[in-house]
Amino acid sequence: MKEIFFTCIYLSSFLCYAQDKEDTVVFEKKVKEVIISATKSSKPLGKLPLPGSIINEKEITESSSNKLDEVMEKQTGIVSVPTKTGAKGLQMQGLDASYTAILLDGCPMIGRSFGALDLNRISLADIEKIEIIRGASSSLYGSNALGGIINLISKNKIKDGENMEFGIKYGTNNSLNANLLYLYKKGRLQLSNSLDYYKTDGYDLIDSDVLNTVNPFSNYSFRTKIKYDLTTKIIIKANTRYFSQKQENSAEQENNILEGKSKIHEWNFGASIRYLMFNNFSSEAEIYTTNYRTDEFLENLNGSLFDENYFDHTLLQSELRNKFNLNGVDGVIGFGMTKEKLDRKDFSSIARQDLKFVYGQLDYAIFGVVDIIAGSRYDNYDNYDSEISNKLALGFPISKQLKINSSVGTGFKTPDFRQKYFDFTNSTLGYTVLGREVAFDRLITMENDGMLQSIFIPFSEINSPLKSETSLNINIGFKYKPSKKISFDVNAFKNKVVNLIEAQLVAHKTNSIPVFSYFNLNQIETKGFEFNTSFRPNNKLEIKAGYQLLYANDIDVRNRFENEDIYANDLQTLESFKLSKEDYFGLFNRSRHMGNLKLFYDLNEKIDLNTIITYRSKYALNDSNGNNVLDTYDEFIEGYALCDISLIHYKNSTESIQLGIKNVFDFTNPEYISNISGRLYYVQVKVNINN
Amino acid sequence: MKTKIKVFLSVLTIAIAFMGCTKDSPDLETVITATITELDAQGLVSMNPPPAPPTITGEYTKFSFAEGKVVEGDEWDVAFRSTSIIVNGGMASDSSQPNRTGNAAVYIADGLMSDIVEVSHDASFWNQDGATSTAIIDDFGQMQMGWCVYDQTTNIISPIAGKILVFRTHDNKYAKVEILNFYDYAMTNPYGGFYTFNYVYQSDEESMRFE
Repeated sequence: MKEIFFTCIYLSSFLCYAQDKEDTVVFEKKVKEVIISATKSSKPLGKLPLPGSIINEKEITESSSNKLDEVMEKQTGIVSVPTKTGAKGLQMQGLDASYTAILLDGCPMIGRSFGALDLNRISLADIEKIEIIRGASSSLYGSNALGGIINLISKNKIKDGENMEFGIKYGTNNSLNANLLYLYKKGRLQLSNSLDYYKTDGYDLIDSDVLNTVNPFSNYSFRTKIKYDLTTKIIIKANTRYFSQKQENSAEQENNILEGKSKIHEWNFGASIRYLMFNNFSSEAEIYTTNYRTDEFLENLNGSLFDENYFDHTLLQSELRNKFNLNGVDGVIGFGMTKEKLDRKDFSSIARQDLKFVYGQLDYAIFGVVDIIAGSRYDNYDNYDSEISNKLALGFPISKQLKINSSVGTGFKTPDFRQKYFDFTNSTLGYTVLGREVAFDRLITMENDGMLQSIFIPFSEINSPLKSETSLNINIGFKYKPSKKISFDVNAFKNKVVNLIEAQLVAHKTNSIPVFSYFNLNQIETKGFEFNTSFRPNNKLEIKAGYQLLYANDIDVRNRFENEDIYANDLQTLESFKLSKEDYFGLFNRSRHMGNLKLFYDLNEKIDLNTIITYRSKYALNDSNGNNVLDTYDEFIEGYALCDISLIHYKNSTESIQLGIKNVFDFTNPEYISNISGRLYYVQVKVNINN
Repeated sequence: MKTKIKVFLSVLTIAIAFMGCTKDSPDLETVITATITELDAQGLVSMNPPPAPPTITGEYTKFSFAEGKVVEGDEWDVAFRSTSIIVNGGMASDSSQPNRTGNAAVYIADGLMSDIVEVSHDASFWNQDGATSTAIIDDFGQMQMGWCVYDQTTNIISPIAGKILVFRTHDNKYAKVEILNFYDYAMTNPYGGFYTFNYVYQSDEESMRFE
């Protein structure tokens, strides 16, 4: 800790873009800087002592991204990984997708499948910027912010008048994306409506089988926001969003083709009132509710039902936030409550969870120089242990060009509903998985009915609730900007997550068919560093490069490698051989090296040429040599690079046409990487109408 | 992965063809070292609609270490059907299993084939099949309590590395086995059931050693 304290240094403001679009500028200093609000205190990015970054509208356009997944994949240290259900989630600092909170104007999105939130659901049509905070942020956002936050900020209109944006994009796979944004401001009233429609025929990477890799789907979303200044001191806001998706569903079972449909419906509603009581004190009450529902079914070819499934998750949150500024100290104190409920197939009953929380954060520049953020949050759950999360961050300027940042934070993630209430029996192998809350009663019943052949874990050990997964996160880095042309940003990170929840064998039914339940088992560690640089040799060219080095280990497996004999099957002879402790590679689905290179080149006043290359080094999704751990002798999925090129022609200040190729080298890996579809061509037209 | 196995298997098959049924051990006449390729023990695996487990039916394939091949009759040591391995000792846990007529038993040792120079003298190591569970637990590879591991993403069953099956035969001799593969070269059955394994058999009843 001492080290961290004394090495914390600061470099004031850089990365300056002219945009101060905060809805109210009461005590926030009016500086022309990128404001980050994911920390709940609206702070210039340059003053933030945390590893944070912002993707602005320009970069969203340059990467030709219409959906959140497209732009996130291009960020350093962030990789989009497919889950079992095909949804893509984001891995950040080597942590699993379930540890990153996704926020829309500060409100949490729900609807996760195996922990991953499908980012294709989120349209960027009305999004102005995306804020990314890496590292534990539970001290502000509670559970699910163990690994970091992605906060999407929607567009605001500053001047009176109307503004309309229209975009249409068409490309390979018959993919069509059309969106319309309407912004209106007159005096105290501000209005925003956006509509996004997307459809694709999907694609098939493997011709020899009967199934598509991605089935055709279409979705649309509608979002409306309204803001009204009741008086100069009272601001009312309301917003609502609706999303709907339909997809063909198919599967193969015993050489029979099964067909069906899957649907997603999602809505969000939020309303808030903000009262600027004094010059240095404001209070905001907010209510937010959201529902995510999926329905899917599969039928045999004769029309009889094979399987159906549903998932219905609702969240209701109310929060009171107070912000104050006292003698140069910015403070936030908030409290609220969250109610969640989940109804789904394979649950014995509707699962509910109630939470009351209180948090506070102080933000201060000691001697006007050293930036310090200290925050704490207390989460009180009705059905298990309460959690306290803390964060301390310091930013120390060494010179005008160099600033050192460091932060320490704790995070947690509560057991999800599946780990608590699942009651599932696998259709093909017959095994049963029981959530921890239902396991005890179900096992007693099974035992009384004589269904259990052998018991491996005493039931007394199951008759207690799961603990939350908790983490400790440390970041130390520096920002260095020797000139206007070049900047460097380096951050070393370490995360230790304990009490990871995993399924474990509890008993055998007859015929040795296993019964599983969930336990707090593993502990993992991810560490490495991230490096970003930006270079503008002249006003025509901008070069950005990023790199992440990552070591991600299961601590128990690493200890086993050090203390026990671990064997592997030789992939040539198939005979076993002994591994040495250096042979442990780490966690599955983690690449040691990741990087990107972005070139933005203005050919002339009207034409921009953008090239983005991303690289991911080898990784493995599963064990291939008979020891259930990833060692250097396993078969790896080879590293790969993807390259996107696009050409934007600005006809005038309001009209543009963009031609592009994604995945220029047509990289595919049909066997292991289902979410990379091969080369895609597209054309996009954007029209802005300003009044 | 598959191509490598294929290449290996064809090399292996040729090697075995040249060796004949390798009954050569220069040091000790009584020790026999051999490889069995693609012993057919598929059984009949049929998937059931949820939530029932798959049904595995069909005959067990009986194997004798002394004969070095599949046998009929009662003088078998070990029998296979899909992921299940039973021994000719103890009791049947399923009516489709052959009757136990011998004194065979088994335990699973950790290590390499060459590490197992002598079988255990400790009687508690040895298990015979029981009325409710077989000596080698058949968990379909899901818990790695038996000989194999099942990968949910690839649906492949692989032998667990570093697991040696140490057998007492039906007539109180000893053998050690390392299972190498569960699938045949042509992948005729996605559920596998073709055993390729190395074994070392001590034909001398007096000896508990393999060298």
